[in-house]
Amino acid sequence: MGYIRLYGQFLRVAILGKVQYKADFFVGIVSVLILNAVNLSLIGILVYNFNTLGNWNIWDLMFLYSFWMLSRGIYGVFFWHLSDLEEMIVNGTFDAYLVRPVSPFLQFIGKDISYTGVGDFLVGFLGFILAGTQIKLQWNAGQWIYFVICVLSGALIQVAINWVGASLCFWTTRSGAAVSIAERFTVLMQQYPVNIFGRYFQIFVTCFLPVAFINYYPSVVLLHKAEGGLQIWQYFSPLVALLMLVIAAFIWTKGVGRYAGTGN
Amino acid sequence: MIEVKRLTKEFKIPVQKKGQFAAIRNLFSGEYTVKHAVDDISFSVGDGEIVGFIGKNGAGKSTTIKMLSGILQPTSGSITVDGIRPFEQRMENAKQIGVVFGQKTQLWWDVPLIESYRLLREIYKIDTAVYQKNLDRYIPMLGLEEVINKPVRQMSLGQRVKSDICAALLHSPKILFLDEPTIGVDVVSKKYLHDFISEINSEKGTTILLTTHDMGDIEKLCSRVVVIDSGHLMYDGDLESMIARFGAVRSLMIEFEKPVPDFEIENAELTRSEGNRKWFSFHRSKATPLHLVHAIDDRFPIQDIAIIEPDIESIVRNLYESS
Repeated sequence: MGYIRLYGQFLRVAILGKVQYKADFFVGIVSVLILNAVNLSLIGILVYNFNTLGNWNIWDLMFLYSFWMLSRGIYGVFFWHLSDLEEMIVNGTFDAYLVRPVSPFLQFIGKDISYTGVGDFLVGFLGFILAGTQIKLQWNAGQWIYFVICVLSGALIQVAINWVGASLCFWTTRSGAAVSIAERFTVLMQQYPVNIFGRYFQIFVTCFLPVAFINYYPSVVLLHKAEGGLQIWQYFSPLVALLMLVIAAFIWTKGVGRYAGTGN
Repeated sequence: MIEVKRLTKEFKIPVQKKGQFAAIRNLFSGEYTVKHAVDDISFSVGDGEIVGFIGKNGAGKSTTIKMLSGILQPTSGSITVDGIRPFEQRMENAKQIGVVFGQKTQLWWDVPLIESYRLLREIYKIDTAVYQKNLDRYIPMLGLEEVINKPVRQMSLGQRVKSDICAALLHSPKILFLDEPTIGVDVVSKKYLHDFISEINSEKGTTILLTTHDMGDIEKLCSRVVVIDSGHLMYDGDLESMIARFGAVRSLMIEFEKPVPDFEIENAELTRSEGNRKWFSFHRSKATPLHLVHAIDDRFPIQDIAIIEPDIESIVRNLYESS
């Protein structure tokens, strides 16, 4: 409880810091809008050119993409700066977190906030409304709750992937390349339903780098897209998120321990 | 307050290969050399002492500070800081220490200084009355009134370091570690820092350990010095006996009424000659300036004299050379 309050205090300072750069703030907001206008038209092209992909029609695809954007927005606002860790280790500013009586992760996560995520979230929200009306979603309360939980889980899976990626620099000092490959891979594949790819690819994005749980499996569940009946594990996004966070926290803790050993 | 016994810190440094595809072979090479950044050092610091750590770059000063503050894990040996083992009990240790790295700020860069302090109050759970009392006392002492609402990024280096030191003391720590606090700081700010550090030490009894290259810091602040070189402890004792042992050679500058030829004199050595001026060095125990001046004045009329005490740089140099 104390930590949540403290995190709030950190965020307050992070937001204050952002507002200090007024010009940058406005340029940032404008560029977020432009970026997302481009994103939206890309979805438009997608929708126009593929009438269907497998058993997914254009509005299903839009739902899938919007689902990802919603989760990416939440991840982006609060965790975009995970990749700053590399720089902090190289220039030694990470040391400051180790001489204060609060978890280093909390201090690191609380140091910044990013408004580009807000744009992603808004695009996701608009896309979801549009696709939802076209698909004529008729969900009961349980499905709505599951939807919200899965959007959050999707955000947390992305947090976990980038958290692991960032933690790698405790060993390698530089981990930017690995993280950006994972990021590009995620960006590329989140726009398509996983079942249009080959079997090995499906196994990979389900078991090894479980990005299919960010938006694909929740969409399969919520839009009834399962071929040959729903499998129980297709509901598992929240569990996958939880498991990945545990793994990420473990790697982070090991990494901080290693940092104390080598000092860099 | 601080007990350090047989402290050692080794770093493994990968061996850099040369030749074809060196970068790729380095990537997969498991070879490394072991560097002893700190090698079998023992010392203790009493309650309320100010101890200065001196040594060249890479001597192991910062590594020692990092181990004392819990950032780095010792390879072997033991440390207790007021009964707490800094690395194993990092959080406990953090509550009772304040740390300032002169080269990098720990404050929030983009927000007014006071916002950093408010956040630190939350982080350390500082009692509101204590926080306000410390703030009211330290801000005027350090001359921070005009920057308290300024973001750190707009501050001069001197202002920034003063702000950092104030930040490190808000939670009234028992021990303060200062890693090169005056590096690059202007003379006026330096004086503020010296006065402030001595005052905190005498008023609150805060134990202070500082590393520095600036001998002015040592002369102003420390009664005791620890000299480290390549990870080894070279000297640990009070400043006066270090000066007596390794700073026994003083200099005498004499300005004559008119140019005179070089000459020899008993118990002193002519070291430099320039226009009307000559410099002689002499050992503290063998001659006094007065006796030398008399002896010289008998031969050539003297216009002016100056006695030059050895500076700490030269003392440390002597110390290095003697080992």
